[in-house]
Amino acid sequence: MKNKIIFFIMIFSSLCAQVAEQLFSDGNEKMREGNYVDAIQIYESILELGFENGDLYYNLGNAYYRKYSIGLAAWAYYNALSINPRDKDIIHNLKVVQAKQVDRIEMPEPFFLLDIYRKLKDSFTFREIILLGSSLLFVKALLAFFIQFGWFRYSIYKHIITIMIIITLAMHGIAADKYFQKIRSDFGIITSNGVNAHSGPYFEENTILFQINEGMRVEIKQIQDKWIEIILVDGKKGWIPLESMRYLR
Amino acid sequence: MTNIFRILFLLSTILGQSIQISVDRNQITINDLITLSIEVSGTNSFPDVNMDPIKNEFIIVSGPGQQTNVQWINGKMTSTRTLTWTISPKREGTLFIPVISGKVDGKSFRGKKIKIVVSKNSDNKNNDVFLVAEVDKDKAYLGQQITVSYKLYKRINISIEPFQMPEFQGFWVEHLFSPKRLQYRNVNLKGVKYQVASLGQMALFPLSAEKHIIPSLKIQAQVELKKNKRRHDPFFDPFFDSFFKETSTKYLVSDRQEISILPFPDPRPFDFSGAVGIFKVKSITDRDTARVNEGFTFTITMQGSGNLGLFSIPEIKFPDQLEAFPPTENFNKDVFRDAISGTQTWEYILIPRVSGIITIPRIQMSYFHPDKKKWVRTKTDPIDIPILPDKKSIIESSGFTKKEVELIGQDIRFIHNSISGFNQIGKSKSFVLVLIIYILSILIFIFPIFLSKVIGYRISTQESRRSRSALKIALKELKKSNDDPFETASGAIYLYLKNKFLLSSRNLDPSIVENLLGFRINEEISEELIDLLKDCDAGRFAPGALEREPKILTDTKVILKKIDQQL
Repeated sequence: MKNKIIFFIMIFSSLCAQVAEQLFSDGNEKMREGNYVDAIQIYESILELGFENGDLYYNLGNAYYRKYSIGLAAWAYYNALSINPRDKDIIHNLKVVQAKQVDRIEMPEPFFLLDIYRKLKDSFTFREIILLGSSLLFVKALLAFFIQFGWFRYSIYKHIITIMIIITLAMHGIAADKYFQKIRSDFGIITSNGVNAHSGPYFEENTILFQINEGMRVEIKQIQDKWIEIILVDGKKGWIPLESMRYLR
Repeated sequence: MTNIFRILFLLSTILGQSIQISVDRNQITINDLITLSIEVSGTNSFPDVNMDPIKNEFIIVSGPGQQTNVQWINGKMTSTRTLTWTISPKREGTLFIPVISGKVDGKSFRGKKIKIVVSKNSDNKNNDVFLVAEVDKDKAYLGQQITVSYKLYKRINISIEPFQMPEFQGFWVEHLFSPKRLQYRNVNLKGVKYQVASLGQMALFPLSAEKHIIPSLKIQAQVELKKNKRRHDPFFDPFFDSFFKETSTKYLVSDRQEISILPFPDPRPFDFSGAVGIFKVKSITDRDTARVNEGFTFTITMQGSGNLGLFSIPEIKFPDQLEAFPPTENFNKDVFRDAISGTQTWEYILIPRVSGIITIPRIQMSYFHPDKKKWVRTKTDPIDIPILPDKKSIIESSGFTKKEVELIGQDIRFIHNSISGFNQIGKSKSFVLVLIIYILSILIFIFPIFLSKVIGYRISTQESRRSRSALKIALKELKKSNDDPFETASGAIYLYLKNKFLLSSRNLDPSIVENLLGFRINEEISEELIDLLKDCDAGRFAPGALEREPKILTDTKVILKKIDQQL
């Protein structure tokens, strides 16, 4: 009985995946026709079904861009980039969208090693890093095995093993960093223009701290009722209404 | 006041209330004024009257004026309240003051129509005082200047009340002249001497509208009356008369005029944006070269006369390498011989973002020359500006970086069509795989330890490998050809022993070897080996002396194998 249920669930989910693929090609057809509103609806329905991939977010971003929704386009591209971090098209489109963004926070140039580290960290997904790290560990285990049985000579492989140990440790360090960053804080994209950030979760004219516009990536500190406390890149904090922001995946 | 008619309408006499609506006369000329009065008696308040219907055919010049009269007759009080308006007809003919309705003390009342006959202003020019609107042309192109001046002609003493210029519908109005006080000069009009004063002069530019009418100007004037009677009274001497002039209010109106609009000749140039007149356009930059991210100003000057300020220059398409900010406009107007002329400038701040030669395009504009009745084009030359590369130290003046500006000109890339499999949100397939790899790695790591600890299998160490491979290495050493076979042989034996017994050095001699092997191998083999080593020593120091020389290498091989078997 139990097996049967699992079997049905498997069949169902594979069917759903097929539906998602069908919907995706429908959406692409609408995009080619220039019917962006329909394309957005179709792509969003795939997300509602519970399926995602980088191309879906990328195409959705294009559709939103064509409808002049800079904020939602940026949201989609950020999501696409978190799945396919080295996709040139996504990087390019996100840059175009960011160039159209109203707000711009100028940050000081970070220390170059930190910059390199961040770029390295951002150009791989957590999955890729952990896969690579574990594979390296596996190769090393094999090497050690062979050396112990005397098929390889330790003196030759000594340096290689040292380098591999360092790389493996570094990779797991990066993976841990990424993992904790993900569970410690959520990010969101502002999706409407002229959002007033208040000093508390209530509307009052004299509590407005600053105004932000769509496309800005913000960190989410906490949520209270219909308000979110956000932190900007430069450290400014404020409360904005929940509906003026969309969560990044 | 001879021809005053009083038309009385007794409307209601309820509770002693009576309402009378009356005019002071019902036959007037178009320049005359009528006084409309509503008289109510026996009430406590003024009536509340709706005067809107009157405005269709009359202009309310002034009013309502309020007046209250209280009389005591035979101990009985009667009070009368009167509202008065001064009105003026809008046209000639038979007009009706429509039914006036209103409320007094909470009761409503209605009046009746009053007929007014308005006759044409009898021979205007022969009058003592009149208004004229002088228009320089009655046909004009859209945007062509029409000059209107209102003039007051008079032959008698009058004083005019403050007036307002009418609204010119369908025109853009530029005031050329509006006097602070009237200045009269003498003119001779058809043999009659008049004094004339300008009430105002305007330049009108027709806009596209249905009708273009130069409206009539209306002013109220106090006209001095001539006295016919001369009383020969010592107290009313003509000399004193001049101090007590009797005046009457007169309403002066100028004629309306219609302007017909001429159509522009076809074909219209594509770069025509409504300019009519004579213009010249110039463009200039404030410097010959500029650096990347260093702004310079680009000024366009439009000089000429005509409807300046009513049209814009055609939009300039700056090259993408330039960032252009909205221009600041400046308009200097001067009135010269009743024509509007002046200079209009647009000042752009341009910031080059890329080095190289940048061409600012030519600016061209067509305008209509109303006198020659043809189209004329004015244009500037394109300007080439060499842009030098950026100096690193220059701090950028705007928030845009060069890269971002380049991106603005670009579009996003097209969608991805390939269908690569979809993942369920929140579920990761790869985690199981990673976990398997980790477990496998750990298993591989601990397997040899497990083997040795639990089962007791001794995994060869590095040293044991060295001692096991000792024979192989020694035999390899033997094969190396050397001039002296004895040296090779002894070297190989010592190397073998060193590796086999894990010695630190291969500097051995036969006596050490004897001690080392001692009881580990057969005495025969041991002796054989010692003999061989001794022969080797002997051979090395007396080359060619021994008969064993050709056999030594094979002997060594044989003996090494024998030792290895025993150890």
